[in-house]
Amino acid sequence: MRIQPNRWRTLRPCTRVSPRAFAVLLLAWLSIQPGEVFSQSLAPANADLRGVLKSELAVNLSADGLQKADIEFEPELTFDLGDSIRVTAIGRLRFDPVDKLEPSAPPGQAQSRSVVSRRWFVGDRGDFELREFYADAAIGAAFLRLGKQQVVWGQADGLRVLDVVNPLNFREFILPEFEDRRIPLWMANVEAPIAGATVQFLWIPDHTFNETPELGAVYAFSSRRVVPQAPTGFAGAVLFAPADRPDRLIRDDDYGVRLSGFSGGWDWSVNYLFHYGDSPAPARNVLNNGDIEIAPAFERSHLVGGSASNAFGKFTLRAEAGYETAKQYLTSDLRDADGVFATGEFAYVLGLDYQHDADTILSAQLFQSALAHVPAGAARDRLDATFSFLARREFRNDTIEAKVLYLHNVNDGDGLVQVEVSYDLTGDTRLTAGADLFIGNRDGLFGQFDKADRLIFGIERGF
Amino acid sequence: MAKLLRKWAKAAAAAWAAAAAITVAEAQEAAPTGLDIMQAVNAREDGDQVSRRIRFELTDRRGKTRIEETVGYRRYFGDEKRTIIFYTEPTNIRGTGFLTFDYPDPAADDDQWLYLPALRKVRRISASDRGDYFLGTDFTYEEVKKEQKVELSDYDFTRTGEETVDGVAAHIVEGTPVSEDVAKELGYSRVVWRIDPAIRMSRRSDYYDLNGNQLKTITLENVETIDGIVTATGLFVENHKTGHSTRFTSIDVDYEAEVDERLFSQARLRRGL
Repeated sequence: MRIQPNRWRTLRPCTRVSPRAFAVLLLAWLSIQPGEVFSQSLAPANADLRGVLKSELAVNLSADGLQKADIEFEPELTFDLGDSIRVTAIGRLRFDPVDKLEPSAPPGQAQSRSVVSRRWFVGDRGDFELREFYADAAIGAAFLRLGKQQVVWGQADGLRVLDVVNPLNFREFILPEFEDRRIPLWMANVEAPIAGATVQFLWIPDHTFNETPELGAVYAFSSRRVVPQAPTGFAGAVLFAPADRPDRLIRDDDYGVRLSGFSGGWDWSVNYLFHYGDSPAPARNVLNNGDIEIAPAFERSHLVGGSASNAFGKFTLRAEAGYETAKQYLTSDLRDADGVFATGEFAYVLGLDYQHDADTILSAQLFQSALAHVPAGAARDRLDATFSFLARREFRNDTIEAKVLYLHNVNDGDGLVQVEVSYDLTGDTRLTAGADLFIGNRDGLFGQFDKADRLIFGIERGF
Repeated sequence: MAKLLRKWAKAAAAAWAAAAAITVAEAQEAAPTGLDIMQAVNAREDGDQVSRRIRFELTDRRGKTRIEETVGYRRYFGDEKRTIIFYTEPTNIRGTGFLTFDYPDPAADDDQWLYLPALRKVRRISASDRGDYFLGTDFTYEEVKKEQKVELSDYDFTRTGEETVDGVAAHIVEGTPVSEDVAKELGYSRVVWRIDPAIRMSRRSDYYDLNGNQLKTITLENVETIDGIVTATGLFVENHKTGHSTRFTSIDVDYEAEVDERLFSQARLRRGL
């Protein structure tokens, strides 16, 4: 099998403003001009600039020495406009001289990110991203957040059923914190009290999807679960077509509603999201000359679900469940038109935390998903299950933290072990050391990175 | 109605406490019991609501100090006490929030939530054991929650004499947990308070671990009357076992500024200050 260079790698200049881009720019404008919108003074006050400088060194245990040597600077500026509007801007400047996580220059983000949510690249080793930029305002009892932001739903840790409002960046697979992996989106987010509960509305005109590493990157996907496999004996070329991302104003926007509350000791929520799945499936098309063209297929879906949690003595029970009307998976059946099938999927996470004392917590989660329809050659089973176990302990008045996380997929028998120890050298300086170890079947989501085991060392300073 | 009843109960308790909180000289004549004195401590007015900044100065045995700052609000909803705390310093824990609903029934567990900025998620957490240390400080959850008061049903109290502390004559009251289970929950086998009857607070308290060894000492470093309410604005606790200490300073304490009921919600915890 020959792999052709990506034809869509070069960014097309944005020569016109589409209706969708206009809507996003409107949100941006509202974010920076809220004073006029709400007839308040525009004079910034109480400005607060702070930030975090951090560096991480990752050593690949299998081969190739260094995996990364990131230096990141994350400034955060907040200021008030008038009495009830607060603006927050968070940026991230990153430089990685090793350049193995995103080796192309620059990565083909047109495939996944809308024009207004892209990163700016400095050569092929540095990039800047406006991570978040929003204005908060109180209007009566309602709370309004306009701009680029992260919205988190659900109760599960690391295993996502409801936490799908923001897409993710898989530059380092799932190894960094969610906070750093989520791609913030331009959106309008309104929360208001209603009958003792809180209702939240989301309007998301920013059509950005999961960002996955390209071929050649350390964490480029290869699992047959998510990457189509060439038929035995295939001698043609595999071409990658440009993504035809949904781009229509209103019609292609995502919309979400959440009702949440606290009753009888239970935290609960009911969620609904009308959205495009963030992981477009790579649909195949056999060309006349016998080559295969791969193009991302986007599918609209309704997500309906809910979450609940409660504490019982030293135990905390957490649960979330949801049904997606259209999830996309691969099939190896050559009779299938594009190698992709869409099906309904029910998924849930059940978690139990045990708080031994204020310093020690043990947590276990079961994630299970079931497909409504499984055709021949499907790249995954009808039922799929993953366990997670977490142990975390703090020492010396919370200045030292040690944690071990184990994720295990039952179907593929693969998994991931993450070990980390952090030490607060001072109130502002934290040192970390850890290891990320992948285990098992290289066809599995974890096992595919069996050669990417690493040790990681970091230093972080806030100011 | 509940608020009126509570105010009436407070007024009655305060009147009773005023009678009980007599000076040491008077005590020699009237000899209040340990329980009388601790009831007076518990009847001390602490305001229906309060907003304040709190600075924690955490020093380890080698003298290395960390400074943490929070903004906190407390408000009574009937007899239920709700507290919310937002960390503002240092940068790496800024935005961390802690919300507690403390129910009047001592048998009912508190409801607690923690917001961690790295997760962007409000986590329900089990009510920690009362004797666990509060977020890296040398105060236990119970001590932070009670704010210089004591759960009367936890101890048998004995007045053992008087002592001059900081130039003030104070009652010495010794408390022993009512059962082994309570002792384990609290982490103490014995506590000795030196109660200043004028302010109805302990000026110095010694705590002993389950083996009877001296564990820590809490010293009242500063007390002020703010909006008519006697307030401990400076406390120092030294853990004799670990050598770690915590200095607690309250700043900008305000009992009169309105504390919005809606502040005590998960949504607000997520949004931050």
